[in-house]
Amino acid sequence: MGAAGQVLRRGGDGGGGRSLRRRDALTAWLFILPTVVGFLVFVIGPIVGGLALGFMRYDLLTPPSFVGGENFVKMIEDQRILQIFGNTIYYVVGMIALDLVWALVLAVALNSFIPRFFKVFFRAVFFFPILVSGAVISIVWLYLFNMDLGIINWYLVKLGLDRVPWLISSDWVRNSVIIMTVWNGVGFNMLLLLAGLQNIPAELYEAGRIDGAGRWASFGRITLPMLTPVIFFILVKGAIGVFQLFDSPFVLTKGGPGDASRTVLMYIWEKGFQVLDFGYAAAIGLVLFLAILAVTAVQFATSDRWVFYR
Amino acid sequence: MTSKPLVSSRLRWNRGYLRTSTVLTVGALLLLSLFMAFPFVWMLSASLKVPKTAFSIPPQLWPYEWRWENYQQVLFHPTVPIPRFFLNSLNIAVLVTLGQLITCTAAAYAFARLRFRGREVLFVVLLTALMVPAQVTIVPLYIEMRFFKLIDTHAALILPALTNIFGVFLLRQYLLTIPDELEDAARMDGAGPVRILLQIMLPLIGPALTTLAIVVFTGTWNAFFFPLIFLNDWQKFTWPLGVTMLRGQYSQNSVTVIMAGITLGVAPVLLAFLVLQRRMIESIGFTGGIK
Repeated sequence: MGAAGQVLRRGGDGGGGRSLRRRDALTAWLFILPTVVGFLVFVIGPIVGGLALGFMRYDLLTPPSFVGGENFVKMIEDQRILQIFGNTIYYVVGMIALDLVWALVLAVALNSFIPRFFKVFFRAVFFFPILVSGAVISIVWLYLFNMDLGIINWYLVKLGLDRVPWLISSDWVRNSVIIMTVWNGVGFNMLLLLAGLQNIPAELYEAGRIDGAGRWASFGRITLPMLTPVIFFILVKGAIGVFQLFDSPFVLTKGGPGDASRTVLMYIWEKGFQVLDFGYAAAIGLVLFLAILAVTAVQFATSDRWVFYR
Repeated sequence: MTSKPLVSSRLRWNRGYLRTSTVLTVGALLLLSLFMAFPFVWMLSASLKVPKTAFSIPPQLWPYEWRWENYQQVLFHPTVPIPRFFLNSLNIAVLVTLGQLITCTAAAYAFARLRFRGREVLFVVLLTALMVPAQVTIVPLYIEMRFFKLIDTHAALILPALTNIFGVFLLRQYLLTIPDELEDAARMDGAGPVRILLQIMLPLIGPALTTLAIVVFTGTWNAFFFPLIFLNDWQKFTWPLGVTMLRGQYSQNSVTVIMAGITLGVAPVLLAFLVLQRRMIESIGFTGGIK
């Protein structure tokens, strides 16, 4: 370090500081140039374009024309839109709830006093589905969910239960999409919660035990409150993600039966890329974006009531 | 069933006796892991069966008769070029990953270490991109790509993915943890920013680069929505898109061949996972905000 100090002193009176700084700034701009260009062309451009397109009629063939709020009026009058936004909200609530409970059970079990070999093994098994494309593995689930030939129903009958019309009943189909999608992604939140559990200081449990807290009391009074920052993160990230659900229902059900399992993004895809009503599709995209923003804002606004920060 | 490994002395097992709760937990976890792994088990089993027996009742996971021809059929299918799909996916994922490693490292270094006017403001502006879901901008992005005449090309998938604000953020945070002294010393020896980045910083941020590479590669390899939007020609399809379309090409009783196609794509991922398990779990967890 002494040598470096000497060099530093020697360089200090060289008077080249200014040109050096200018060279630095130039290099910096060169370094960030690709990122800034990518940001302008592929983020800012589409945002501005989407804002404009929402107020236009455009079908690729004829030039776009300004139509004011027509697309938004159309949305209100659209018979299908209520069902589709309803489905999406159902997915948001159902998936996050199931994911949270499932991930919490896995994380708590993995964090309990079991041999290390099992920990590593189970963590790997629970985590692996994340690495597989949801669209592709949905094809496998398509066969597992089959009403008459599917293996899930075979086991249900074996257990003395009724066959479940997983993908063909409008009442069931959303739940099936939820089960498959959560199965695919649960390992991620499991990891987050596991890390959260491991960060809880053992002294807290010691203190709880001295105060006479049982297993459930210490879970409810220590574990859960200490996990609230992680849970908050899961809720925020989960809502943003599920609002854009596409792959698994697209492959499992194509949105059917009818519109029973269709999501907003699938509807945007249909209106934009099947019907070529790009203005309408962009308008729905804007509303979806506002919905995501609103939900995120509400989550943040209410967070100080229940999220426990150390 | 579980008692044997439990008492092995090599495990961290300092209690010396078996607790019922441990056995119950391990048992429950075994059941859960069976459920988690089952779709893969069924997929592998069906991929090796004779079509007629894929749905035999009672279900038989161990194939009665091993049929490797399913794999041959799917690899050398006359109209559905599965190997082509693999190459396409690999090509796109490799280019995107390399591109992002380069652009993100350069930008992250500039934001973390170089001084220039407007640095903080620009960084915050860029971060807002993380809040705009890509899918919401899909319609204007499509029109933009059409304007650039890039529809039905891999470039439509690669170009927007060459830069990534999240990657810049990840690497910048990592760079900030590296002490300034190292850089100052090199600077006084006359090294310019490029040399400092390549010779001093790059080796130090190795773990962060691996993390970014794993996350970006798996994400690109598995992508479905964007290829679905931008590609029309079979020959250009990526693996997830192609294998999903494969289903439409066959009648229902060819499930065995379809499962062979899926297994072929899942197997490399599983192999990579077995080798890189720890790194992959850490990477995905890390990017989720563990630290």
